[in-house]
Amino acid sequence: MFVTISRCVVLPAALAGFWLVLGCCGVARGANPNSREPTLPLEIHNLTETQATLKTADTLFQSLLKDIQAIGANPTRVAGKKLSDMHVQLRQLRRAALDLQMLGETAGVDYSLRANVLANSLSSIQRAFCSTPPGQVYTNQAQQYLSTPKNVQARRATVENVQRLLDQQKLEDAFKVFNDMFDRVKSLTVFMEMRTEDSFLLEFASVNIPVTSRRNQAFRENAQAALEQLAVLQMPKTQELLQAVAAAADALRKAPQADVGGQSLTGPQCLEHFGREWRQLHLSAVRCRAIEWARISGIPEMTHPPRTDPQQIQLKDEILTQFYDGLGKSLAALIEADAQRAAETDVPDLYVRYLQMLAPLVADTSDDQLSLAVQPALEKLAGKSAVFAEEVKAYRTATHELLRWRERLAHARATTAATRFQPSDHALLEFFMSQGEFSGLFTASEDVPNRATLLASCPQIIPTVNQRSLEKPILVKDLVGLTGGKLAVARYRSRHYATLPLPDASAEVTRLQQDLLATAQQPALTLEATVAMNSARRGDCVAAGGAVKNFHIEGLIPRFAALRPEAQQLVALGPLPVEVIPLAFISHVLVRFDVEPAWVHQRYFFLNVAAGQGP
Amino acid sequence: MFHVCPWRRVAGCLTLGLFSAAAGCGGKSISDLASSVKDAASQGAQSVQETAQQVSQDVAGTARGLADKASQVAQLAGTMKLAIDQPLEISACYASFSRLQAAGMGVLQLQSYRDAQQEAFPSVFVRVQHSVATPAQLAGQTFDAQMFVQSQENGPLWAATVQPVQLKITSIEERRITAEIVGGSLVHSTTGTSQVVTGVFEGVLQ
Repeated sequence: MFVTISRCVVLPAALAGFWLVLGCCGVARGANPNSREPTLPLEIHNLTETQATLKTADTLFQSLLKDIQAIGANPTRVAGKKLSDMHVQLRQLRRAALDLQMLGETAGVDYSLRANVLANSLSSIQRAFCSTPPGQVYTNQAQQYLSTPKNVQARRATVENVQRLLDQQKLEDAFKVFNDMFDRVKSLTVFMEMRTEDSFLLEFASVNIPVTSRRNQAFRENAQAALEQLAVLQMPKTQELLQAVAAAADALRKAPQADVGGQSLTGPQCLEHFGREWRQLHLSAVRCRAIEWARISGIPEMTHPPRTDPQQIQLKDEILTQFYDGLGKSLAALIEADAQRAAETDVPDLYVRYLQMLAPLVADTSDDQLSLAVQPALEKLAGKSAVFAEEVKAYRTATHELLRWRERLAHARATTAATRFQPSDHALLEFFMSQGEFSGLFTASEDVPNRATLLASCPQIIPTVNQRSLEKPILVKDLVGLTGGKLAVARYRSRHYATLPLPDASAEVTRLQQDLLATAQQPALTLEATVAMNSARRGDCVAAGGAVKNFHIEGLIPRFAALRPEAQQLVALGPLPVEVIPLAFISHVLVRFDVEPAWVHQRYFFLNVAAGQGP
Repeated sequence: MFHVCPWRRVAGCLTLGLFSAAAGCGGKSISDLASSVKDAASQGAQSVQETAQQVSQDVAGTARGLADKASQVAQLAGTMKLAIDQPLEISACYASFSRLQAAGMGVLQLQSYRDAQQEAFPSVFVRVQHSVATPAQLAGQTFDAQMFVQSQENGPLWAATVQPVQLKITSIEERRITAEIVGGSLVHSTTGTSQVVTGVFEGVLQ
């Protein structure tokens, strides 16, 4: 999911300007606006069945864009009917954009901002058209048409019908009937002088605001109710998992296997099982929090939004922090219980299997809390066999200092290499900072990139950021290897993450394995060494430096509300990344950088990609 | 006349305590020990006896501490004399020999510090993988060795990892080990420059 092969090339902004850049690509579902395809829609979470609305919005947007581009070259030759139709489409686009926002989709904010740009262009075309003789004829005809008794009567009937539907609480029907008529009228009155236009629109005054306000309020409340249900479904059941681990520990104290979910599992198998459960729970927590953001978010364009309180968030960060602490202790207790019962002869095999189950979990956390929690239990297990405990001690003596020096050397080399690479959080701020006429994701007063917000539409933002960012060297940190060490993702923090292809590190991994005296027959005997090898094989990196090849803007809510299991590595196991809670989460975004690495810094070695050098 | 006066035991203990204090050892001070016994004497013979026994134990503990310290001082006697871009002499060389029974191989390490908590800079770490059963079997053999040198904390390093240096174990007598770098270079972590390294190690096996 992290790699998108882009089909289009961005036209030079200086030549094409905003509209031509907008027009170069079609829609590709499952992507996001990016440096090569700036007009793609922001991906949706679709939890509130928003796919059809997105399609409507995008179809309208693409159609308007195409027409504006065609007409913009010679606006005086356009047919008045065409402009009226485009006005209707623009109003439909605005409504679809607002619906998307109310359903918790950031794409709606983007389409709303895109509609503003289209509206400005349409106004310019319309002014040029009105100054022409055909334009004046069309305006007069429109006025005569709207003034015929038949049309006056039709409008009155519509208003009465809308009022009746409102009284019957048929808000969606009322909204549709009202807008069908109002769009048609508005598409003709826009050519008239303001006083004339007002005289026609005044006919709708009694229902205009009530129907829009009541329908949108009800629509938003329904969406919030649906989002609340979804959040409840995703609410992580932390206590259940802790209790299940405790029950397994009790069983292992008495027997070599425990009944977990109807399966009879050994201690290491229990650990593996609970590791999977933990990952699933963590994924739920990430999703739940983002769904709650969608639920409580204010909708800036709503006239009377339902009142929401940020404190209503049910999934508190403290719950997850406490759970993380508790789970580490529970897993340690499980190992200790198994150790207490284990026969001396079983210790070496049991110990090694525990290491192999623990290593991926430790690597998926962002600190050493878990490894510190389980270490005493592992030592107790090894200590059940005096001979094996001596072997473990000898192994630690033979490997720990080397790992410390390897880490030190890799860090020193990375520090030297990093001097020419701007840290990604600084780069993000610089690339997307608003300046002069340009509106990006940050206002000039912001000095940390934790409030990336759409201050303009994605297609407006991207061309300028292309000039600022592409090929610029940046430094990304905390990378997790994916797809067997071929690709890595720099975990999400400060409103960005990054992907990069990994260089072939197999020679370094082999050297590390040799240094750690590990073979298939004689695995590593400390958690430190086991994690070191697992992480090196997977491609985990402390940092990497490279050139920005592409970037993507993504909605904060959809990115996490529908986070797919294969993308779970974006957020390390443990406490969730801290987010400031703004009033309008709906317009908040994050950026994904695609980076071509010049060097990678794995914890125990450094790889200079250009030179192909190891440590 | 065969009754042992409690005060004589006290005097004996005081003598020991004085000796310990004079030797500059840690633990309880002479005044602490003396006042313990004096306080006990004022509470009766039984109490004096118990207290004197306690003082004896304290003194014994202190004496053990002295022995440990003396041992540590002896183990500090090793040296490292290196020449990289400039001469580097360190008055410590801690050697450790480990062997993994199951794997049939092990590691010899020479380092300029007892453990990471006591590391001072310049700091040196040399590591050899071997397949011998006892330290004595290392003598006379030349091994590939990984080597790291860091002059300042968080500063750049000289290192030989992919291309190891050649380390000859010249002798092993009881716990004393001598070794010499007989070939190889170190690479600077910042500049990438390579520099021939020479050096001798006189270490104490831990």
